[in-house]
Amino acid sequence: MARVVILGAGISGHTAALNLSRLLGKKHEIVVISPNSQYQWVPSNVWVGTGHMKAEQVKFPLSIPYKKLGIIFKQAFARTIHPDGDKTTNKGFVNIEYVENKENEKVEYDYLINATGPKLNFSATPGMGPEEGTTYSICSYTHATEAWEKLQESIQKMKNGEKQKIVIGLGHGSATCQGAAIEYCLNVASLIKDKGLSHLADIRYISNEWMAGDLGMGGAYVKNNGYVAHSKNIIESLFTELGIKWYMRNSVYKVDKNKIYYENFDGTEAYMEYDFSMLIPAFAGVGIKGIDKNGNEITDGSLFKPNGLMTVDADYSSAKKPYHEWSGEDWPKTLQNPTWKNIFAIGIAFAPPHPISKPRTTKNGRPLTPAPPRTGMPSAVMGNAIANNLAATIKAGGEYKFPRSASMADFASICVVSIGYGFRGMAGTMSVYPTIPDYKKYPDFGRDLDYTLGEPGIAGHWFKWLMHYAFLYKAKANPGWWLIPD
Amino acid sequence: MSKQVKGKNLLTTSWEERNYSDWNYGMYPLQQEQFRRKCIIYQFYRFIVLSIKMHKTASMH
Repeated sequence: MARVVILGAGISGHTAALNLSRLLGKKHEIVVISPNSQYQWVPSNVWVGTGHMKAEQVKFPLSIPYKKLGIIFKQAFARTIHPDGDKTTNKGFVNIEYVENKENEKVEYDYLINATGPKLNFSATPGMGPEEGTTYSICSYTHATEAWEKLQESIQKMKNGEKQKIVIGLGHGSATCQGAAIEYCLNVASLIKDKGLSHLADIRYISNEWMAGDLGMGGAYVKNNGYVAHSKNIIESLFTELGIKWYMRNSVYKVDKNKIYYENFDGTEAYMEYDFSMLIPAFAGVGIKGIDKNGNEITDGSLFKPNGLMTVDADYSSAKKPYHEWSGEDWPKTLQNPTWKNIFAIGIAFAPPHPISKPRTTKNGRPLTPAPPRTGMPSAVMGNAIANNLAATIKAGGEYKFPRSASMADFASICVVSIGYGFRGMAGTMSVYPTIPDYKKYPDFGRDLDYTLGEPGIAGHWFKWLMHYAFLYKAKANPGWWLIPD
Repeated sequence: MSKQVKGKNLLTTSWEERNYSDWNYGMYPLQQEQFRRKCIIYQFYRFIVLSIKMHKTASMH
């Protein structure tokens, strides 16, 4: 019997757990370790942040699917990974600390999947964030609920005839998840428009992207009414229709009670005043440490990179190459750690070889480097691929098998930026294949235009609405859940 | 400045301001496109088409 330990129960970890359980049955042990006992469907946090949904509608207890599938769940923080064991055992283990009683436990594993997701690194931008700062976030359902409470205050002030400045965007030069920030910005603008208060709202989108529609993946070209057009056009069109002004190429470096300070690519330093602001923070590793057999921290980068993200089979030397030489070949195919073959990392937890968008710095050296997006669909696809690969490996008696590629250069991503809620609404629907542009295979536009599309319309909004219910149904492991694509 | 009729009510930024900024729109939907985006019958057709396309795209791995 093999024991697979999964750190994290977000989209990638949960997908891996469910698929492993389906593929391996109860002959093998699957253990999930997460400090949160709830599963949350993060993409719907946008609707929590605009009051269309309650937090209860986007989350449910993990015990529901885990009881059905016989998955062991431990509500705990993973503190250290000991890939070679310690002086008492040669078997790899994870040291965990339970949330409830702070007790520690060694959890031994045959295979380890690191799917911890990100640490929301608000401290990278002084003054930012809902806990110690004055800006809000929609990265979790609790943050989104707080954002909605604050947004309501601004709406009430507008109802009383007071003008309000609303700033939404990226709170650091290296932040990612531009899609979520754009979606929230469009939803807030739509909500205010529906209430007839647009004339009292100054809504701005501030970003580290080179241009609107970059989305941290270098943008995308899509077929559009007889043209091949850049995603810039679609996003700018949606911004224009809702009266949002966009401020691109800006590295936010400080926030205070009513101002956001940023530096533009050209070196201009400026600030933007705000009454309500939602800024996505930079992401970092969650702070798990690797420990060797003698109890010393592993600091040579073989397990974790300095940013706390896990080392996998990517070509990290490619980061030194010129931007035009970067390719999909640089990206990890198996997400396997090269030193400890029984350790894998998926979702945000793996260290990418380099960004997808062209990295830049401002004149004063601040980053203008959107990190590659690895949330949502890519996370789930990676989780499913690793589950398939590990199941094949375990069934082969431990000989590593990789029937599925887990490379972002081999699979597609779909992103629906939805505006409004319910039957009424609007959306910008976008799909890209491959996720990482491949200019060797597709020299003109970097992606296959038959599978890369962008289209505004209500149809995409219905699609997103349907996805909310379909993916929660799937995550609860209800009958036929595996028939729903990732 | 010449008078722009279609869609003007939604263009909230003046040319004087846009002239010195990034806000020069690459694409803006005229009435026909705005109608098409909201037409339930057409959008239902697009929903079917998009669902098939998305399913095919999601299977590309």
